[in-house]
Amino acid sequence: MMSIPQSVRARLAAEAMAGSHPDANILTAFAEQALSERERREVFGHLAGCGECRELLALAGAAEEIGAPVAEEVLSAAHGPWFAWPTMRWAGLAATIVIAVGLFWPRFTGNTDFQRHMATPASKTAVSQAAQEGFPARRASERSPDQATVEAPPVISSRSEPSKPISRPTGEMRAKSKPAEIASLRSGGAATGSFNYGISAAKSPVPPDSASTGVQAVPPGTAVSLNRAMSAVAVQTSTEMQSPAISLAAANSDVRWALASEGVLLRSKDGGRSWEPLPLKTGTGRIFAIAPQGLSIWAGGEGGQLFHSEDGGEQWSYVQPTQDGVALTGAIVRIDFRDTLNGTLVSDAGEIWTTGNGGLDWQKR
Amino acid sequence: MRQPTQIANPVESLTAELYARTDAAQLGLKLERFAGILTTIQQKYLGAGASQAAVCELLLSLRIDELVLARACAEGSEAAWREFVQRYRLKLYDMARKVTREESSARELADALYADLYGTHLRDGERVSKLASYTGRGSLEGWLRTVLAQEFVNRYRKQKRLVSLDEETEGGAQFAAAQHDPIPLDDDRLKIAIDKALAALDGEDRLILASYYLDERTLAEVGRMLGQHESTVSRRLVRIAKAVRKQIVAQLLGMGLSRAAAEELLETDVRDVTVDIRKRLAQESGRKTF
Repeated sequence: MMSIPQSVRARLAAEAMAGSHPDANILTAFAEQALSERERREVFGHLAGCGECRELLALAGAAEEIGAPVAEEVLSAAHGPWFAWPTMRWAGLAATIVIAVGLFWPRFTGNTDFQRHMATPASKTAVSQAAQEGFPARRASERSPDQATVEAPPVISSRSEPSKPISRPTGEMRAKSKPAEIASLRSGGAATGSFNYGISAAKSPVPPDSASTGVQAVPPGTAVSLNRAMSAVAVQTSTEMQSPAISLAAANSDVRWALASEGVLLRSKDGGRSWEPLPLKTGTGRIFAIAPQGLSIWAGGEGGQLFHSEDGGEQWSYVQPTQDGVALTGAIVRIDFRDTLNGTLVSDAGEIWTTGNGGLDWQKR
Repeated sequence: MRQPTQIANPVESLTAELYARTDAAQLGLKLERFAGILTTIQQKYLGAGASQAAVCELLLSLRIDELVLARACAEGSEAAWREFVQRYRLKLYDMARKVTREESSARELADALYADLYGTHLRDGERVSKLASYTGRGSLEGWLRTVLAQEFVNRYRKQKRLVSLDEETEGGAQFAAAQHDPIPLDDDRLKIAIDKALAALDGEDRLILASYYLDERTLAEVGRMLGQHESTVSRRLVRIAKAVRKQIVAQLLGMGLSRAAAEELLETDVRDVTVDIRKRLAQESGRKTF
């Protein structure tokens, strides 16, 4: 049987409405904001009471989202002149240049202290210098010898897979990134996503230091250009150290978020070239989970501490999830917000808390 | 002696200008036919007695190139059809795939619409193309998305009827969608207050409420429907919800209840109120004809 969204079933179950519906032309013009003000008001009035037309609009919107025409790509792959040898020859040359730039770019650009700290061979000097400057320190023993060749934090896909060695970008990865990129641009491009220390943390708490993340690394230069217009979550990590961090690229800005291995929240405003630690509050313990939703950022960690910023991380407020006077216990290890209102927290004590009004009220499941 | 100059009808002038601006002639669409199409469209949206200024404004807002292409296809122009196929055929499959989320259904759906667009039915010996109903108010691609969505829903309805018949024949279990019976509000005062609060909202606000609470759409989906960012929708939703609540309490105060009593009545059973709001939003079906 043809699979359909649940909402279509609900719509069909609804009572047939009297009167006429706006035709496909009007609905299309409404969606494209091409109606006159008077017509638009009429359509608003109709849509407010007509689930059928709302459903049509939603379905038509679904047909628009995620841009890259799949069929066109397939056809191009099979028959397109782009894959003829003369084109491929130049494409190969261009790819070589891109890879070379990606490999050597960080050596010749002004890496920040944080990048140097993350990138240079593990020397006591570098670690202590970083520590003195307030950046998260890492143990030299956590690095593998070949990691020194990675000059800056690689950006990886958000898919959770078993750990793999760092690899250079592949065509497959780029292709997978494209729909998200286009969807982000069409939707206005708020950075959304979340990063947490292990989905199974509620049942089986995973210490942050032992969390592992699958990686498919992209050279830093490539990652910046690739992610500049992406809203998809890209996880940044230093894999061999088993100290995952995260960066969430915003579509229309270069703001990214990261969690350092010590549970320090980091923010970059320049696409990952430089990072600043964000002290949320004096005496704050380690942060284990963050969930950005555009300018709305949630961060939580040790002791059940939960922080929220509504302005992209400039101002933070402390939030205490409670229900009937009982507060959340344990460390927050996972935060998921599907939009700015509806979110879920998971603590390492196995508690699950939900909110439906942007954190004003919480319910323990 | 000066010859009296003939003042051209602005609508006719604009029509001729638009005709010259497009590929209508190359696609085999004659000026008279083109003018006839524009007249039909203006009558459909403005009625018979519209001012010339209003007509010109409407004509200038049309996606005229896409209208010409669609109507030339509908008129049987092979050149137009080739152009249409080149521009939209693959897009049609992609749209279908995104609507159905299933490859074979997508192909079936797209092929069916494709046939309708070409026109497989005959009327008075001539094929009738669905493209003849495109009026250029929005983009042709957007219109294709909408008719594809319509076709998808129609197919689902048809399929559902067939499945139900089979189930009845076999005496098997019915798979009716779960019905959420609204819990009736015992207190008429609260019922009236809710009705008035909802009636005070404009169409856009009610649409946001209905889409989010009734259809359970995400903020992003509602935002896409309205052409707004989801964070904007989120803020509006909070504002509307607060306004509705405030309005309900105000109505209850006006009925002689104390604030504490009004708040208590509103808080008695939030589920009741929520369900009833849903019911009332659902009942407010647009009965206007336009």
